[in-house]
Amino acid sequence: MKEPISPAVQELQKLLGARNVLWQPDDLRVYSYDGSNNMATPDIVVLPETAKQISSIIKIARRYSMAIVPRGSGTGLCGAITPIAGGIMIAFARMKKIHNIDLENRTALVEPGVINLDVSTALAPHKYFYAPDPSSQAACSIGGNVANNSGGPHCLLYGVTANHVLGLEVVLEDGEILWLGGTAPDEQGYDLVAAFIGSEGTLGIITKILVRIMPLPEATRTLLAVFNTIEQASRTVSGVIGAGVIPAAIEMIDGTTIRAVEAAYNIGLPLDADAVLLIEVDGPKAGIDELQEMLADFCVEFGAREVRIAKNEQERADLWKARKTALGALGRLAPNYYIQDGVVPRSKLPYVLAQQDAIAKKYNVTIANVLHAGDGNLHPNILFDAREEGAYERVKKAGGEILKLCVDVGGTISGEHGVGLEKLDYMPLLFQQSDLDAQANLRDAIAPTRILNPCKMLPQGSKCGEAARSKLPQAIAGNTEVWI
Amino acid sequence: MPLTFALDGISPQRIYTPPDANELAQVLAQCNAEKCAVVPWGGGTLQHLGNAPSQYNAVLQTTNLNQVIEYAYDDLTATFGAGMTLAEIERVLSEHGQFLPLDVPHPERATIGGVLATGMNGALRLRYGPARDYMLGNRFATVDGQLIKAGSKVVKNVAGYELHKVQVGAFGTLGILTEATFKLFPKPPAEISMWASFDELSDACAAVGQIWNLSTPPLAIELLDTATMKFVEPNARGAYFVLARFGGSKATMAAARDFFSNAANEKNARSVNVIDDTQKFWRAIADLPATLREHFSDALLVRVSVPPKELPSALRVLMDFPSPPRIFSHAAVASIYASFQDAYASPETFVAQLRARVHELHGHIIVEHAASTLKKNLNAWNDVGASFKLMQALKRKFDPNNILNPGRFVGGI
Ligand SMILES: Cc1cc2nc3c(=O)[nH]c(=O)nc-3n(C[C@H](O)[C@H](O)[C@H](O)COP(=O)(O)OP(=O)(O)OC[C@H]3O[C@@H](n4cnc5c(N)ncnc54)[C@H](O)[C@@H]3O)c2cc1C
Repeated sequence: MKEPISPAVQELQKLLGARNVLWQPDDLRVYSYDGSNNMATPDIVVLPETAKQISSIIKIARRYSMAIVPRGSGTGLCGAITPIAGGIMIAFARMKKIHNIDLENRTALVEPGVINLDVSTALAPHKYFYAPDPSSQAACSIGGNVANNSGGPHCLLYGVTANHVLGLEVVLEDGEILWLGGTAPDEQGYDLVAAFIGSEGTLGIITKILVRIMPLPEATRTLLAVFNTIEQASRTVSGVIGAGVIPAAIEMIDGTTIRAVEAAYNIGLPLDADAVLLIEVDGPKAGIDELQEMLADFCVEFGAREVRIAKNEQERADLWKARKTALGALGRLAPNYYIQDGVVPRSKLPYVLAQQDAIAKKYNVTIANVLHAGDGNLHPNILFDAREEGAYERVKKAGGEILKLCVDVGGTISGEHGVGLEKLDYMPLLFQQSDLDAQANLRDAIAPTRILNPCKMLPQGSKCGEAARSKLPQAIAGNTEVWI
Repeated sequence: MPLTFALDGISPQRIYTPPDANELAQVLAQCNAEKCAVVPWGGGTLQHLGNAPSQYNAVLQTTNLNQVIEYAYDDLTATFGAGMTLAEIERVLSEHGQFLPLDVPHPERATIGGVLATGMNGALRLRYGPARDYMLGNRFATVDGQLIKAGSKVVKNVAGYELHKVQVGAFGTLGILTEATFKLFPKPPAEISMWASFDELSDACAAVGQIWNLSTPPLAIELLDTATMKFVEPNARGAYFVLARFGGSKATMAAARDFFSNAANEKNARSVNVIDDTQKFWRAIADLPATLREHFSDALLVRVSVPPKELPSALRVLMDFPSPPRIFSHAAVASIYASFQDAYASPETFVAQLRARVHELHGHIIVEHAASTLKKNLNAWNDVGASFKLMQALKRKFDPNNILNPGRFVGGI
């Protein structure tokens, strides 16, 4: 049975060609998800190739009062791309060009659909790299990274995405194409680049990104330290940083995760250990061995029962494997997991991890911890089986308590994954209404109609989704999916 | 000399020095109700920046917001009241071997609030980035008397819009900063600083490129001419000077020393020197923008920003003027200060010409200082182009009555 083609689809097809406009339910389904447990199906998915086309798409969307939701690779973990108001989803699969690598200025100009790792791969022959390295870097897009201000293991030393973006081309909600920022320092006027980074697609569509690139460090040393207790491991983290040593990365995985990783990949970690730390330092060759030794000594001093040091690139990759395969391996333990992303001051890690244990007991859930420990960024993965009645509700309650715990010790509810839909309810833990109003002022100055990724970032009443949906014209049948 | 708070010949009728942030917000709300134009005032060291205010009724001092609000030294984070001076901050942090890499002029008077509001940076920006990269959050007073919290106090946070960063470099036109939280840095265990002299500008520029690419990345690279080097190392001989600062382990520093010498010599350096009193040396460099302004108060001081690879071309443009300026530059960042002594017959034409030349290099200039008789005819800022409408929209949202520093920022904001 053929569905009638709506006028909006027809207009978009004229603009982009029929191949680049998806509207049949079967084609839309894969666009209903991100990496979180949220889902909703867009009415139309478009695959533009240029900023100009995006400008036209926005104008069409406005004419039909349809929401616009930009989508990168869909690896996000907060429901930021979940189109709860339906509408037109813009995907960037055809915007994957690296326009320019400029070694003299140490910049690269890329399209939003470029995969994070592909930037560093393209730079490697020149002995340069792009520093922000989300663990999802083989899949996630630079556009998504910018919109989420993503982090990654090496952000401990190099800083998050915001520190590596110099300029943006954006399409505003009125269709205007604007260039913000640039290669010269001290751009005049308000820092609009800063405003767009981390704005989760609510202020404009990002169509080009000027990133800062860096020369590859001359030497890298990687060590893995095994601990009997997670407390020893977390004390080591704050001990190292407190002593004024900033490694490139300090990552932690806990005993539950170790056992999952071992079951899945058998990489030789002791099953009775309660935590391992993965520490990496990089920099000039001179002095790097001393630094490595000092860190190894530190680990032992804080109770490590074993410290492994990578002797070559292969061994380095092996040590990282435990960390990089962690999330995938958790599938061994339970069919679903709910990942949280709170941040706490590093010195509070031992306390917070102990409290988190208590929360797990209270809700009778299992938590597997994977941490960007050097930054105090927790990723507790609460394991569950969605088929079990009431499980997801219980898990969400436990997650909420963990976030409250993070805020209570002076931290935040999200270090890198974003607010999206997931964290909307928790924003008031962190901000008073007046603070949220001030943020809304920023949004409304730039994107007052809220047609761009509506209902994300700022809490605006639980009816947001329905309200936005009710504006949709009848010609586009509403989908009946629920989002959980 | 008593403070008059005069700006471009205008003096305020009222002077407020509220005891704390809450009262500061109250005063601001009151001013807003009366449509009384306010100039926020920290240490006054950067008030020469920007255009003359279009209206100026009251000065609002942050002097009393001078407390350390929180210092978690084992977490390397701290929160300071906006009125704290950079010297005081440095004193507090150095007790724990930590620092904030903001090496700007007059730290004994410059306040953290003022430095953030003006977006000022110094030489260390090369390694540590601009302040917004390591500022984690802040609080600011709005015209309706609220104290708004933005960002967080931990080193990573993506909850909400980055409103705290938009305040940096906004010249107090969107609100008045009352406190700010930073990620701090441990002082490097060892440091070495060196300089080399060159006869030719092209050699000096080439050396900058070479040193920027060293496997031991420098914390700072500066390029000075004879006139500016006088204030730093009075006995130095040469036409141009390249200065670099390195930090790291002892072993790394020994390597850096050799690297620097080789790089400089390869580019025909006349002499290569290790600096003994690094503290004094880098203080003098950090002070240079103020030194130039104060010593040559009748000269025109502009800051030129270009993409890093255009540094040689930009310096050439400057040096090719009939009476070349005194210059110094955060070289690898490509931010250049140029002080033109000549009382040009028509400074408007001169600045327009310079703007156009620098624009061709994809850069821009800000007029930092001019003799007061000339300044009123000069626009300190470039035309910011199409994004201006967004800036106006922001301004309308946060300051609808236009009472915060009116007229001083880009496009008359
Ligand atoms: C296994 C795994 C590991 C992960 N590890 C990390 C990690 O270490 N650090 C980290 O920070 N995150 C991590 N993530 C989360 C996720 O990968 C990041 O948030 C990533 O940046 C999302 O990129 P994406 O291309 O998938 O964007 P999407 O999920 O598709 O979209 C994310 C947001 O970006 C917006 N967006 C996308 N493109 C544009 C555009 N062109 N213009 C405007 N807005 C746009 C979307 O609307 C949405 O709000 C991980 C996820 C997984 C599944």
